[in-house]
Amino acid sequence: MDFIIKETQKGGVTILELFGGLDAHAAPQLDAKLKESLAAGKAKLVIAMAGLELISSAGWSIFIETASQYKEKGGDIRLAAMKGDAAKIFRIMGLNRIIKTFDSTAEAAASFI
Amino acid sequence: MKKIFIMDMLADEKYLLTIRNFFTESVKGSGIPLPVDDVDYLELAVNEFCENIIRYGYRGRYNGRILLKVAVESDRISVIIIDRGEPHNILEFDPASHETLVEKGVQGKLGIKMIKTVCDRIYYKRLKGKNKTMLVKIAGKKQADKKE
Repeated sequence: MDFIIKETQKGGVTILELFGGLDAHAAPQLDAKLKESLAAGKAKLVIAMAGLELISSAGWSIFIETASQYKEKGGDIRLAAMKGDAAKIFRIMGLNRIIKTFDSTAEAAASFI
Repeated sequence: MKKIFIMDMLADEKYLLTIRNFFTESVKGSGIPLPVDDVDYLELAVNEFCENIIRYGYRGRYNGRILLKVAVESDRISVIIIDRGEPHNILEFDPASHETLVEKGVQGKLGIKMIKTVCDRIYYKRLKGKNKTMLVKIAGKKQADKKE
């Protein structure tokens, strides 16, 4: 499945739903989207991950590197609805110490309020 | 019983999905039942390794190739990956520390850390200008609590 990004807004929070495989080929598309959102002043961002089939280091690196830029603008990047194997990798790699995660998109969005 | 599947592919990021599909379809096509988690983890490792070959082994050259040989057995899946890029012995690279990830977010090292975390055995040999790496996942070996 090709990589797809779907954007919605909810109470001042930008929600990006990701679908498909987030690999090195797809990563620049996400990177551009995150930079575009930040430039538009949308610094509160939730990444909904239930539709992702795979996340490679290229994808994780974007989250790690971009989250600090969002924090500098008074916002953050928060991950939601991560599936089993991605969640395990996230924890095993210690990325949970860098980025906040939530069970659902609604919880992640509410955490900004 | 061992079933073997082979694919030769142009080393280009746009073919990563094809490589992943080849791997998962090989395992399915073998008819040998294996834990879904093991297949998913090794799929991730194969993807990571091929990303590294494309980005660092071939350094952006678009005429390089990657040969994948997937061997499926009842107790393991082994993937041999052969390329003609720069020598890159994954066993010689230290996985990125947490501090490195936070401070630098180094993608290549993060990928190596992921491969070393999810694979149970890794072998490397440089022979006649080729890198030959084997990634092995043992069926049913508990992964979630494996420490680096």
